[in-house]
Amino acid sequence: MVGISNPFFRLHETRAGATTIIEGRTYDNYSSYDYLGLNGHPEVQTAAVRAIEQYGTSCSASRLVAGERPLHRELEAALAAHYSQQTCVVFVSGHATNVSSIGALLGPKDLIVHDSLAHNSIVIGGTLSRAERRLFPHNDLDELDELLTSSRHCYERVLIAVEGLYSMDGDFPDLARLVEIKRRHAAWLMVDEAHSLGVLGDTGAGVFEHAGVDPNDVDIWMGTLSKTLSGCGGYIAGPTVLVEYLKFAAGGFVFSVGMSPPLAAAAIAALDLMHREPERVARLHRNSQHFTDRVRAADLDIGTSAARAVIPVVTHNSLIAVALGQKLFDRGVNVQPIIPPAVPERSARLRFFLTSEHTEAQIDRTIEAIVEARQEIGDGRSILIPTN
Amino acid sequence: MNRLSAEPKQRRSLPVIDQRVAAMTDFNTLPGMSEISVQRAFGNGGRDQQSVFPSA
Repeated sequence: MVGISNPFFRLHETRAGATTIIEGRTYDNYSSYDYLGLNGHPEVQTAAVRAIEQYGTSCSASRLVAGERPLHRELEAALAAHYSQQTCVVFVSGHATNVSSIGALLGPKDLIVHDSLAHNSIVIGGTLSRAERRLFPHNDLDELDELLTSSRHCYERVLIAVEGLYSMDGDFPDLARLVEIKRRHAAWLMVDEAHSLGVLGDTGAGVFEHAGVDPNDVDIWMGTLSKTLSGCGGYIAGPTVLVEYLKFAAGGFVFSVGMSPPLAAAAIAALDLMHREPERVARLHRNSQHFTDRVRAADLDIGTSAARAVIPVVTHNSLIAVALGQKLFDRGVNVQPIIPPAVPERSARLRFFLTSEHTEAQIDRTIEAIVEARQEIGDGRSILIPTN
Repeated sequence: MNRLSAEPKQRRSLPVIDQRVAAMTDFNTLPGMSEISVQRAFGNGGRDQQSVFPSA
């Protein structure tokens, strides 16, 4: 595309947090999920280095055959305690966590019903399971209730799968109502906390803290280790019988290598820091609110975002989203344009991820850059008709 | 009053179908559980290390 560089697979030459370096230039960065700025924290790094010194970098094979390391058990115990669950199992991939777990839990006589904006891993897990897969309009729990009222009796097991915080729109479901619905329809409720851990709730505990819901009222807690927890992989926390089953039946666990020791150590240290330093969460919330207030004051569309870390600036038009992203990049702001098919038609956007480490000055100059660039683009005709 | 009607009626808390559906939320009823019965017999995901076979 003329005058627009490839926004995908950009090469970062440093730890990419609130700022980054690309081709030698420093950018204000809004394309990192390091919500609490823990990637690179001295305690996290030290934990990872010590793990390498003691156990090396790899477990070489599946934990079933090559055995576990104390760090696996320590991380799983910490995550289980976080959700007040009996136990937990960690996978080496967040995507595989959903695919393998859902794929192992459901069968052809079952139903998975998920939010229309649920992550690809939930969709693929449902497909793999051979269960009937239905979706309800985004966060429309009346529709979910109606769907289950009319069709629950046609199936054996039913899984309702939602996300704690939706990564494209930055909004979240009514968890208390979901619990009520799943109980009334005898269904399991699975909540994917990939983006809500560290973000929602006063201490970042997640969507259950924000909603004031007992985490034991949710059947399956899923999350990832790569965002707030500065590692890599995913987890399922729940009753012992569920976790035990997944440890022997979920292909993504059984047939994958055990989690690399430094990654497990990093996640343990990051979770501990998150618990000890709730002021990070408060900073993230302040930054998110400040960004939102400034964007709204500029009359820009943030859709349904709840002003918690994930804040899209919706341009609706894909070309405008890409051009705006380029103009911001030229001004020293790195933010990713999101265009169909990643989002529905006419809802193209720039997706801003705020962290606790952004400064107010950074946010202010970013908003000014957005406003300036958006005015330059106008109705978008200038993108197609180059001016010489 | 005949003999049958004199007997206290047995109350069912839930219709049979509801009990069957309710059981479907119990992870213990997963069809695949039977396939991993030996592994589960070790307990705690295999961590407890006790033998599945009775001692002689």
